[in-house]
Amino acid sequence: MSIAIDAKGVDYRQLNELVRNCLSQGERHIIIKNVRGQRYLGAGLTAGDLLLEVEGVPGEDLAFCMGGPTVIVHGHGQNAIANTMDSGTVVVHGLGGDALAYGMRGGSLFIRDSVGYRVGIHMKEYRDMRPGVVIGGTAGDFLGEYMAGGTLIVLNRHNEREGVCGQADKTLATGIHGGEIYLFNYDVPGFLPGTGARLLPPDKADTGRVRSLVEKYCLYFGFDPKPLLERELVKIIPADSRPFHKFYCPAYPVNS
Amino acid sequence: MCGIAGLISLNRIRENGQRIKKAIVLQTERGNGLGAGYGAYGIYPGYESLYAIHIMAASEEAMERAALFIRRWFKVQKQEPIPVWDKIIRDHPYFQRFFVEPAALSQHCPGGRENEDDDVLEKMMLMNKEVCGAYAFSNGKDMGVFKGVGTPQEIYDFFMLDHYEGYSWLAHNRFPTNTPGWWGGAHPFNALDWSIVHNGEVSSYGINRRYLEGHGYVCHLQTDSEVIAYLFDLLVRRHGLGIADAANALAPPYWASVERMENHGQQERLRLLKIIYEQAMLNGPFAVLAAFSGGMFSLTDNTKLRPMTTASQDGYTYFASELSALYEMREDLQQIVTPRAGEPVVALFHEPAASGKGVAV
Repeated sequence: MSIAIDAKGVDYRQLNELVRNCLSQGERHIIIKNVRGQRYLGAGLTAGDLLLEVEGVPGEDLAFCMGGPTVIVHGHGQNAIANTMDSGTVVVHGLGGDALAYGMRGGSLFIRDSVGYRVGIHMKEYRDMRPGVVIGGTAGDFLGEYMAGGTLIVLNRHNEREGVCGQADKTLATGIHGGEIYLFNYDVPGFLPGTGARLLPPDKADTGRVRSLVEKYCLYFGFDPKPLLERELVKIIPADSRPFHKFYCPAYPVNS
Repeated sequence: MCGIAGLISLNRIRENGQRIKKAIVLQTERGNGLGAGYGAYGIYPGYESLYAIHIMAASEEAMERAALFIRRWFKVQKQEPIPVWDKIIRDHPYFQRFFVEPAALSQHCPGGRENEDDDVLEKMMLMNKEVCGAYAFSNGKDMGVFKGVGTPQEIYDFFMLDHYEGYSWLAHNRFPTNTPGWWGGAHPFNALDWSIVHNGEVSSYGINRRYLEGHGYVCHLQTDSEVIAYLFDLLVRRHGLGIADAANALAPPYWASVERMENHGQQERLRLLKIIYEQAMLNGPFAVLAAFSGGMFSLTDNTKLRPMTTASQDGYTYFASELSALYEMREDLQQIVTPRAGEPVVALFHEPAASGKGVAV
């Protein structure tokens, strides 16, 4: 059983109130129709068994601080999707904007097509909480900046030759000190990786985590994972476990 | 965090402000009610060859002083109040518009400049400096800016923009941060046929302003975005740069990217632009939408710190800060184009206007 809400012309505060009311009445499959730019959908919701379907283009901060639900967007997404998200799944059948997965702490985000700038900044992990992000197309500058955990995959589904993960010098994974970034079928130019990022030579997708995330991506969007996974991929990890320990003046006698 | 919307009919098909209003009202959350505005091109048929000067004044006396100033320098073909619906906003300035011929053309005033455009712009800057309490905020041909303190819906209703038909429209929803929210400080900013709306801040305002002052532009409107309109006027109209070159001058790639370029012709051109126009370069986060007599284009800063999305379909190009707003202008958009940093999205009319000058891309 599902319940539908018509969002046409409804203010985002009222719309989120409607969703929360449905949730408190026991609804676990909510379809929001005619969404156009309403912000904060799914924000702060914690029901692990909730399926929230969004028809249209949701506004900024979709699934902000969400912990548990599955959100499926039948349309493009805007900026700051999965901001500080805790757990759950977000699936976007289209484009993503800027600053996705900012400070994301767990759960997974699947974007079918390309995304904008500053995706995956400050993603982090703790014990068994490991966020996973799969981008079907390409990404802009500052991908995975200050990344501290989790897995960020740029699938480059159309095998683009340039601009796959930004274009400006030293913006890719700048200041990364945890987690890992995978880039499929792309010869990363030497000027792209930022300070603290270490590029490993091309390899095949042998790790279970990449395979499992890409397979899930393909399941959601109806692609065949085999040819996608057969392509080479490069991995970016932090240069070492504390890449910036010499960067700061030892004002306090730590570990001395 | 301002909001931007724009639409342009490449075949110059006129429409009223309904569609652009929907697109900017959807982005109401991006402003705070302290400024909104619209720019429309092609709205004064029958007056295409005259400069349409829009004046706001704090009092009837100030408007009288402005009218005297305009009559001293120009031949006024028509003067009328800009109709407003003051039940929407009760506390507002006085608005009038003047359709004028420049002095040099009309022989009304000996000593007028050779170049009409320069003459009009110079007099407008002089007026904003000398006429106390009145501002000329729009002075192009066959176009007009309508702006003030209010939400996008309020400003639309206040100026009754249902009653204007234009073939390209700009809209802005303001969230003033560094500069005051007042009627003259709302967007769009205009210089002759250039109008710009801007989301972000111009951190290089001081340098840009001094550079412009060296070329005769005076900034009076207390808002950093003002310099962008003057820079386009200087670079494109006066210096004759194409839009791609102007975009590269204002939002150039980094030196490192330029030095790496394999196309040496393009590399040399970028070097020259970066050196010659160093003081025109816009620093800081910005997304700009600029309209002029030849079309419309968007530009973002070279690290893409402000959003811009676009779509083109069936002879129209649409621009908006938020993707959802594009669909307010057309429901069945097939393809969305989100430009990368510093990359302009240019939409030019298929046929230049009869009075318009060609601009290179």
